[in-house]
Amino acid sequence: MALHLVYSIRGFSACHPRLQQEDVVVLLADGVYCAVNPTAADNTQNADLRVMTDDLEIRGLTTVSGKRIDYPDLVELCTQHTPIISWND
Amino acid sequence: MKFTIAVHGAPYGSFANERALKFCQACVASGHEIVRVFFYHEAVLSGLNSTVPPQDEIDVTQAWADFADTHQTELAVCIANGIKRGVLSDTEQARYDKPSPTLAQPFELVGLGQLIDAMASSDRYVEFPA
Amino acid sequence: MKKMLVIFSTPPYQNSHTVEMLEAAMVGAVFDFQVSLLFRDQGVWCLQNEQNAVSLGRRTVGKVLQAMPAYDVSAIYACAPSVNAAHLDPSRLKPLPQLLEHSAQAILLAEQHFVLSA
Repeated sequence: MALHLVYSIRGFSACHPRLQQEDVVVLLADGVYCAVNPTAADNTQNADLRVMTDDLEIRGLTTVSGKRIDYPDLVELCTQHTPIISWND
Repeated sequence: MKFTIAVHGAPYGSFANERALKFCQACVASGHEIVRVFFYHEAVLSGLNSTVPPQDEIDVTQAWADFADTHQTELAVCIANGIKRGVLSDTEQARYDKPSPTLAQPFELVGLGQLIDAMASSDRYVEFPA
Repeated sequence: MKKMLVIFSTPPYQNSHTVEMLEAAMVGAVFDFQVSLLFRDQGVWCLQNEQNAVSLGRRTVGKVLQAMPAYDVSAIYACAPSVNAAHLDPSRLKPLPQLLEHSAQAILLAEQHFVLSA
């Protein structure tokens, strides 16, 4: 199954309809705003979401949905999934 | 596991380089191998030897050079994308009769074939967009 | 044979990335990767017929695209909902893409070893 690296709210909108059941979505860069603003991306509850802690802290965000991960976790996810797709809309 | 890393975003115009560096560091710390880091689009500017970043900010080019030095990683700048954006090795500077070479050590100017070649021998390909 | 998909999501003349990624697709095919292209969202405008970038002083994306089959990049897909949203007539797109719904795109993605995004 695929790993989706989502870089923006619009990137999530592009990624979401093209997800398969077992896929994992990582929110990073400005994609982390999807995890704090349910109206920006109200489909987030249907996806297996991970959120980069580094990007949350950079942006001063604390309360979010989704499991928090760090760079070693991201590397681990990459080893478990193929292909790895970036969504940077 | 073997990884090919592609960086697409410009240094200072994006945070693609900072993110890719953190990923690469975590990658080697977990015992994985980075076959090649390939700089494409505006990311070729990461290989310029003439950038002077503000003192309180990261020097992206130096950070890559330090990483490559520590882990013997190949830093490959796409030659077609690079020379049109002013990134010139000694050879290209002489070929096009430009005033000076601008490629930082230990970056190399290589053809796109080197990206595909790295992918062919890698288990994973991770791209860092602008 | 490794499968490589290149995804285009921006209009053809937003920047030089479209042509640069098409070059990567061509080299992938030369190296015997099984290469396919997917045009989605604003990227479907790359398939608009009769582009001419002469006045821009740049290569015409449509012409570069039409050379793709000669490089054995034969699988060209477009997102059906995106084509509809752009009010494009699918029969006039060039090269003629295979139209895929979202679910078919998800399957296409899952089949790949490597996915590149322009």
